[in-house]
Amino acid sequence: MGTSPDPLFVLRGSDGPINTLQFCSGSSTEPFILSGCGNGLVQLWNLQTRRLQSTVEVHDGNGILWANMIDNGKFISQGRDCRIKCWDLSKGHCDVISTFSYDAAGFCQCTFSKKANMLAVPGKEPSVVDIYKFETAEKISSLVPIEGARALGMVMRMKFVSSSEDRPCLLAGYEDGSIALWDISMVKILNRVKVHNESVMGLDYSISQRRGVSGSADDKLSSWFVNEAMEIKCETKLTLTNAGISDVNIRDDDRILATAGWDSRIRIFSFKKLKPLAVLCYHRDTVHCLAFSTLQGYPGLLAAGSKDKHISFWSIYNDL
Amino acid sequence: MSELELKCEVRQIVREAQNLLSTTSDPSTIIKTLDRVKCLLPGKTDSNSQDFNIDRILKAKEEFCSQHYVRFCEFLLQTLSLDWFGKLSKQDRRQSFDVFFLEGVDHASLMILCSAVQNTTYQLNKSVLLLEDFIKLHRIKDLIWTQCRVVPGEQTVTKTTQSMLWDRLITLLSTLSNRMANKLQTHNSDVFYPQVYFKILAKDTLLVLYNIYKEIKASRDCVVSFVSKLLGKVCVHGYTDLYLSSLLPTFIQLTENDFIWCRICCTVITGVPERCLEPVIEYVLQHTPWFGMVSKLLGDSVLSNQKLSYILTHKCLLLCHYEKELILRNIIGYLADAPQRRPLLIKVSDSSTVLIRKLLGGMQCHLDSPIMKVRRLGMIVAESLTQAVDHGDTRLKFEYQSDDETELLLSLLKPAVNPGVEQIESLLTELDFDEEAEEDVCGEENSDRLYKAEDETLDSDDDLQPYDMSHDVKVNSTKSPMYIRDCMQGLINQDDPDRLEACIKVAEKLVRDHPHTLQEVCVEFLKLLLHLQDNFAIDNFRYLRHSAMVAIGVQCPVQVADYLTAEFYSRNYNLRQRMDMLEVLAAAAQELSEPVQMMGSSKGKSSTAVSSGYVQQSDSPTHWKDIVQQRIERKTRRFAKGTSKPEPIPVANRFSPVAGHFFFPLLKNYDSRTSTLSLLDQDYLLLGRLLYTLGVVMYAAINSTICRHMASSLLEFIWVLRYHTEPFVRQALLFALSMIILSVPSHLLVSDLQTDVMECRLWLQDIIEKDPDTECKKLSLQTLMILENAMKKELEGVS
Repeated sequence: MGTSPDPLFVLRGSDGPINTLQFCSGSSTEPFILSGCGNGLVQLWNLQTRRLQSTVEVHDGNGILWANMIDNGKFISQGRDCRIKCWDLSKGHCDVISTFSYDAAGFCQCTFSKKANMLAVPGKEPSVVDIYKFETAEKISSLVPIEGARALGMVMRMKFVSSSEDRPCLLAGYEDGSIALWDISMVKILNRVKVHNESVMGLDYSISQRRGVSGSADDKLSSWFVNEAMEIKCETKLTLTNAGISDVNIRDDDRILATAGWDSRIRIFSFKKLKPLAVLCYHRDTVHCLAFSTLQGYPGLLAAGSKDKHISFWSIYNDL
Repeated sequence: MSELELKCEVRQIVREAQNLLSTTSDPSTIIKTLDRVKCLLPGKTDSNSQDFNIDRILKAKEEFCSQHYVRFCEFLLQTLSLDWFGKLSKQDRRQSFDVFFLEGVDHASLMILCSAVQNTTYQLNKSVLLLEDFIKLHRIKDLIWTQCRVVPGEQTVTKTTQSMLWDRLITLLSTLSNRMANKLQTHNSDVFYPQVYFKILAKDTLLVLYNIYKEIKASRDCVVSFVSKLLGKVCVHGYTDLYLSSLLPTFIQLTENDFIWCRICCTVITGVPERCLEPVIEYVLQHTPWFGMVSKLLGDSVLSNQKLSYILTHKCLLLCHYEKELILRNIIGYLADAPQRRPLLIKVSDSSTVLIRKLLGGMQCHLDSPIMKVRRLGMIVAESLTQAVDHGDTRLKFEYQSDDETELLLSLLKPAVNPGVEQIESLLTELDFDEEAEEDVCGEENSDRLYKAEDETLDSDDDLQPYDMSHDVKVNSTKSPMYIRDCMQGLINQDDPDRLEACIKVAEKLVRDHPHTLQEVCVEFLKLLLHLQDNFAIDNFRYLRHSAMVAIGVQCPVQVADYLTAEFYSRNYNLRQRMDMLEVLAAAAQELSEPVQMMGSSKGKSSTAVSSGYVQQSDSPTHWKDIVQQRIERKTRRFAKGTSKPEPIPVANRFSPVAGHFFFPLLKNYDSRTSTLSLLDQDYLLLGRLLYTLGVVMYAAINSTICRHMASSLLEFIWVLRYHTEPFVRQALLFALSMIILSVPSHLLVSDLQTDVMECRLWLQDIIEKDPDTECKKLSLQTLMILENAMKKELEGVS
């Protein structure tokens, strides 16, 4: 094929680096994308008109680490002020429903499982993950590694996975480069494997394929799978041109995955064999976050948010 | 009915069809006409012809294929136009039109399609599509198979016509992907990419070989020389890896325990034409994991094939070096494997006593060596040799540290064991499919089905075609300097290669962008660059350094020229540096003498830009406004007559005031002798370069007032050296002289310089007659002609 494609369109107008992105359908409104910036704003962009729809300052000027839309026009935001807030947008303006503080000072994003109604939050000690019941903000359990609450370094990335028996599990990547599979109900690590030499920065997992991909601060991209005995087995390790990946995202059809690079490039790989497929250049600074759309009308659209304050949209391998 | 009548009838049908097709554009008539001719195609057995009954149709087909097919197909492609073809439905196109190419006479069809690719757009598109289908439907397999089959009793073609046909076919098949890439450029189809095309070709080849295998099993005759020649040609064209990577693993597996396959593979490989044999054998040796497999593939052919024997026993062993020791193991293992081949191995090393004597001598040399590595090699050989010669209890044992290399050397002593076919299994994944496909082919000849089956078994990742990723390069973490002094600092500290590279890369740009800060450091900067050495193998280092120096020379001509011309004659420079000085002087003079383009109206900048607005030869990005302007220009039509270009704006000659600095100091010291430089003696190369440089500077000073002084000085200089012994110097003299003639106003040639010029004429004539060097003669003839022209013009002008 020819030269790599250009972005489909770009959203400019944010004042801070984009830290988190999420495609949202919006029950009454048109489909939009939710972005959280380093300057403390959560912004909603209309995908139809490609214009900024609304801006909310949610953490008193502290940077947004993570924002996630849950149903009914509610969204959760996590700020650098160590607070997690839940907001309601449905009445046309933004109201706080609930707020609670947590004790970590890291950069780790929280993660939310709608199915289990759980929120995973980095704990007070670096290697600890706290699990909260979302509605009541009550702590269910604290996942402390056997080796010690500081042994694995900071927790860097988390992802809820539900295993075959429908018990909630959590994949967590740590600063020492290991990835652990936690059984939440039994509060124990099912398996932990050191996948990277450097800190894990991004990971994603396909439940149907039982395979996951992780990127780290070094120049390696790893794929691994979880076998029947719930053990993590490393599969392929790929060397990238430039070191540093801040996010990994697998598309819903399990065909391709995208990585966000510190070198400001987005890389596309085939999910099966990690075959390098494309290197997308547009951004001028570190790419922070990626999201693949599952929305109707925008299938497979890839969005990337970067430190250069732009959000780029790409349509790639969508005609298969 | 006689044969003649039948021939006439066939011809009539074809003629009628051609007439109809060229006149009508009614789809139903066209389909009817095409269908009538279609019955005569060789592949169609089911269709019943309206013109011929069953017993005559075979004869008619034969007649059509041999006499009319080519011309009819060419006609079809030529008359092809959207007028009538566009009206046919997709189905009709497939059934009535495409059939002629996809189920016709394979080799003719391929040749027609390939030559039709040269046609106009619409026909080109159709031909490319047809060609794609041709390849995808594995018609190439049938094509090769037809060439390999021996039909008893059929001896219609002569040897020469056959070999010509083969040559053309093989050339077409092996260059198809190149041709298409050339023709289609960026619109090339995936099928024609070498990676895809040669895989298909290899698959087809395997299927053909399988057919041959079956024929031989049924004790019928076959010819594989077409396959051999094809293999050879493909390899010569440089696609060895692509083509053989699919063939070789399959060969290895098939030959493992089947004698007929051994025979076939052996004949194919050793039947490769002699001049193409080497890449094939090299690949086989490099990629076969065990010498036993090589034996199976090559058989005993090394005994009968001279070229093969030469490659194995001489070329690969003694003349080439390979990274992998596998090749060595394969050759020696193969030669030693069978008793009848063993003598060849001994012959390689003369006879065994001589061998021992030589080995001992070599060992001695190795043991004496001061280099540890070499000495250790000697030790290991000595140990193993004594072990082989003497079976006593006391063993020679050296003390050396064992590492990977010694392990490797010692492991070479034991013959390699068969790693089994499993080792290449990963390469063999598609073989199962091959076998299946072969079954398919035996079962029924339905090529469409075959193609579909292949589609489904494709690995799901393979349809994700990667984009071009050449722009994915390492990001340089070091920042490039923004100021000249930073840049110089980076060049002085030579301990950080990345920073050095970043500095040298921006040096030219910085120099051109900051003329004012450059003034005070220019000589220092130049000195730095002049002494800079490429210690880190930076890409394009010489070019970067040179262009930076030239840029300094252009910005600060007087200082730089004074410095360089003085340094040229001073001590402690090597030849390379002195050459660099001359090159910089010449390049700077040339650039200065070019009129500067004012960055006036078009770029919206005022005249302050004069000093920095040189036309940069380096690949700096063009201004966006220029690009937009160009696009507008391209789409604008102008109806007005007259000059559309503005008159060139006169600018001051920048070189004229400084020309003297570039020129006279260089003439001053040429006859001084120092221990490091003697121009008139052994450094004649430098003298020649000096003369060339003077010539270039002279020409750069054209139209300036100082030109006449320079000319007379240079003429004097030339006169001194005119009978130099080195032809290179004489050539340089002639060059300088012609530069004088070209740059001096021609009236001076017949007035002030007349005596000198007349003497030079005599000298030139002398060279033309007597000089032993032909290049000198040629140059001097040219110079003389320039001189005569200039003088004639001048004299005519006067009269």
